[in-house]
Amino acid sequence: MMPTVSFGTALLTVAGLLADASAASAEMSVLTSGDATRGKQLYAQCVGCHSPERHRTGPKHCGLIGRQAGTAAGFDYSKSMRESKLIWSVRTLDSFLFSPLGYIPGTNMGISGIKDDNDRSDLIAYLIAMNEWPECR
Amino acid sequence: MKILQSKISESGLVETMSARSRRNFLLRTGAVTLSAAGVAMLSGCVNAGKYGTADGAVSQDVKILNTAIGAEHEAVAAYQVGAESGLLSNDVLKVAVQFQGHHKEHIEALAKAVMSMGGTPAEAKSDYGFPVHQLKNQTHVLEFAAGLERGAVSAYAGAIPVFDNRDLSLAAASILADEAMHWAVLRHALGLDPVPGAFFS
Ligand code: HEC
Repeated sequence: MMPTVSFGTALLTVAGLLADASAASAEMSVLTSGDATRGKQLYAQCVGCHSPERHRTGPKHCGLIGRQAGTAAGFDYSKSMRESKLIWSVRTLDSFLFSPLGYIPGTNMGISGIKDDNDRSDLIAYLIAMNEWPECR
Repeated sequence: MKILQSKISESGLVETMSARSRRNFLLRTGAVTLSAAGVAMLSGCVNAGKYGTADGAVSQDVKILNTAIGAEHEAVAAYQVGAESGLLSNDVLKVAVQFQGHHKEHIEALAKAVMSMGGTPAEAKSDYGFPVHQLKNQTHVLEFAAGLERGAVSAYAGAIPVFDNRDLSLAAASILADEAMHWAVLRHALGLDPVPGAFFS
């Protein structure tokens, strides 16, 4: 089956972030072709531990793109995550979600990862789209 | 809400066994499965030497377990919110309390495993900041619980392949099965297809 491809929100958001000089980075210019609507469904796999707007077992996802890994205030991260010095972008998220433990050994996010390329890209589109939500502002 | 109640009654959910008979039943069947894994943990078989596991792998397993314990604590707290909400009918309340009991048992088993590996089990948070104001009727509570159970299925499905110690994968699979059943029952109570597919990750 062909995945539906929607550029809409994700593209706009990334463009918006690029306009924000502080968040701009070369990596951010990698646009995602993911489908945020499908990403929302896939996000069911994350809601055991995450929610967009509040810290749970895992940190909140609002404002993720452009944020340094392990820096959301009020969440108790692993040392590995805090010291990774990664900036969350389409590229770094793609690598992390493919294999959290492979990308950041010692992370507390102990799951094998999302192995399907389309699934990851749709999830990332959804994570980016979140930044536009009122509850994320 | 009437519909939900009758659905639950029809499904025989109300005829849950008494706590005591359920416990005995679990001892004879369900719990034994978990114990197969649990036993290994308790008897100290989970140690680096026996499986030639590096310390790093043991501590990674402890981290994975503690993340699971954290999520289980949240589930216990969520069912507590549901139970105290006053929004649940008696029949649904019974089911919620039963499911909460399962989550408590999961925590017990996982915490024992963590301790047998020299770790400290994650503790419950004092506040989970649940969106309580959004829970206005029984359906909302059931949807909320169903979302958590669905997420838990994924969390365990994701953890099973990454445990260094296969006994822990076994224990996680056993817990996953339980949480998948919770999810199906909650979906049924919501009038949704209880098992909406053949594969879940
Ligand atoms: C079993 C629980 C669990 C599941 C399921 C889970 N996560 Fe996580 N996640 C965590 C934890 C715990 C952390 C913090 C990790 C650390 O501190 O090492 C985390 C961290 C993250 C981070 C880094 C956030 C930051 O603030 O730096 C991202 C991004 C993330 N998760 C995305 C996801 C996505 C997307 C999914 C669903 C596909 C998912 N997670 C599923 C537990 C989980």
